[in-house]
Amino acid sequence: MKKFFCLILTWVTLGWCGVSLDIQQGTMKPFQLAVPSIEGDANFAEKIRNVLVNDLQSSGFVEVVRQDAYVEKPSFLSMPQFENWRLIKCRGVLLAKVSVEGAHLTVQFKLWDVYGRVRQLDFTLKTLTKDWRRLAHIMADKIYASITGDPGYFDTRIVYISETGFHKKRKKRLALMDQDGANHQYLTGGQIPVITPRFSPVEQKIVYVSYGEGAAKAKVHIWDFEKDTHDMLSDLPGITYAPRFSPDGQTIVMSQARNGNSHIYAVDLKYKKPRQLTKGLSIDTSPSFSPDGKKIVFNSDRGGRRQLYVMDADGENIERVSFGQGVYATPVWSPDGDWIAFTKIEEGRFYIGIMKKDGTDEQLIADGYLVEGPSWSPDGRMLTFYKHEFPNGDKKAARISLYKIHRSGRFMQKIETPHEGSDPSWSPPLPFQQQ
Amino acid sequence: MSQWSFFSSLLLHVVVGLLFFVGMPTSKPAPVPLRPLPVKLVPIGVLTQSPKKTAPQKTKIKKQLESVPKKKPIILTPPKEKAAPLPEKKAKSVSDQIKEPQKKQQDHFQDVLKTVENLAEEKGKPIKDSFDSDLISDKISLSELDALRQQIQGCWLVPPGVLAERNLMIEVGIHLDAQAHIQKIKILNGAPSQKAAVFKVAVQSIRQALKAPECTPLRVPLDKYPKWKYCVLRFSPRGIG
Repeated sequence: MKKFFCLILTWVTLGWCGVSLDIQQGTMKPFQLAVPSIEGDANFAEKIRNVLVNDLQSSGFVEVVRQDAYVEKPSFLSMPQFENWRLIKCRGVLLAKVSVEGAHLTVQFKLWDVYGRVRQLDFTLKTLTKDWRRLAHIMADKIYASITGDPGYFDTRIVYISETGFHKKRKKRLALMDQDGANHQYLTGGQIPVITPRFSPVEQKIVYVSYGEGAAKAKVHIWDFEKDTHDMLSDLPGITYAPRFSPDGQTIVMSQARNGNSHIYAVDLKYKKPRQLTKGLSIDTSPSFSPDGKKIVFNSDRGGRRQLYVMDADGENIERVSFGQGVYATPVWSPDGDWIAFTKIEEGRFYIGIMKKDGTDEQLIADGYLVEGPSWSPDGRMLTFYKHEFPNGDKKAARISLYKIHRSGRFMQKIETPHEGSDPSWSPPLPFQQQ
Repeated sequence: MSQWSFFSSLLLHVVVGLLFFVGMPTSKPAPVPLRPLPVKLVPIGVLTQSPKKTAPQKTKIKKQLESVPKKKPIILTPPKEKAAPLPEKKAKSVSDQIKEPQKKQQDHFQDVLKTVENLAEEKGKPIKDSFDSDLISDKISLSELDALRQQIQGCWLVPPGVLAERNLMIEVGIHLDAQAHIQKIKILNGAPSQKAAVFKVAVQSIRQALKAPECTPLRVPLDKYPKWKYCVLRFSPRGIG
């Protein structure tokens, strides 16, 4: 009886499953999205649309089709005529409506899947009118996540060092801006030099190095933007530098240079007691936690040339992970835990690269005379870094600019800043309450 | 000597005699090599197409074959436009020249006809059947499968979030109508744990791909409908470099 059923099953399978295909490749073209004019309050509608379109286009994965190609003017309340959008090969249509009530702004939006003929997203966001930009970024995040499967990084900020003046009178100020360069503000006046600001992965808080009374007194400071509090981390002897938060934001790892050596320390923010993690005669620096908090990647010259090493969070089991030519520096573990970004110097040229956490699959994604300081976006898909540029090839007229790039090495874009900028660090997503 | 032994010996002698007879060289003349079939000169189209359209009656084919060379000496008759300006004498000489080959041509047709008749008689069935069963395979060839794969890959816009999940696999069953339009899409496997969001986006992108204008209809051999009316497609970003 069993054999009979097996035979029947085989016959049915063979009879029906005539074609069985593996599709292991696809196209990497951007998603064609139509964003017709937003209905409602004309002032906010236009501004929100501009920010939204700029966010989506800057990702490289979404292409907003020009409005003059649209063959219909759809209403927010009705379903779009899908055939009209198929004609111009739009895969999605975004319809939105803005309304203002006193100091509050409400945006309703729907994303229609043209080929599937279904509503893909339906959201209502409400905020104060002064926060209209953030509302547009949150919209962009929702749409981006729905299209790409990645969480989106538009409602985030970047802290960096703004640099002005010539060499000896170089003024280095902490500056903060939205990831698209808007809402730019200086946090420090430039009297005391500051370097290497790093955002906490979970809070709107930065850790940075301030020189105070000269280079010999470089110390690690913490600035909480939410509470607007400043704090010096510890008064370790020597120079403390290259600080970075742990994934839970409760610990700082950093380097301490003393007597010609440099070692890595971890400082618990609750008790502020430093704990030495590395020992010996080497220079160990640039520590960065893995997202699970169990490992730390750092660079060290213990093998001769500066290479990348991974150790347990308590300093045990140190293993070398980079074996390439040249010198490796500033490693940063990606938020998804799979990759380590780094700066590489080889034959006089600088590169921004990524490698798997075990050191395999090294990819150099950007290069230049001097590119340095990679920092991951909170979704782990984009990186910011800074680059020295020479307008018209004149090395005396060097200018430092911020860039962002997808981790695949595509979609590199300059981030416009009022002055030169270096040492960027990406914030976690800004908090908001979903209704 | 018993009777049984006698018959056994007789049987063996007969067998040995037969073997000797068969094995001996014959004095028969060597077989005359078969005349090569005049394939080059035969308008094949007449043979292959006419039986499909009309009933494959032996007599009808015979009539057609007889009539074709008489009415239209396709191979040897010069084109009318060129023949028109020729003087009568020359035209006659040309026709004289072509008379013999025409006869030969007719002879070839007769040979072919006989061959075809013989074949039909031997198999005892119409000519059309032998063409269908021998030449047309109902299996989908590798090149046809590859063309289908290429078409679907061209329509699948892989979301970057899915690209990062190399081990993600979505199995999709599709039902097609006879014109290769997709009628129904069914996801056959479930989302792996902790990957539900990416799986959802991947499924959405696959649905869009299968409904994209570039994939409507799918490029499949329409005459093999029973073989592709239901297909199973396994999508994965594994092969993307």
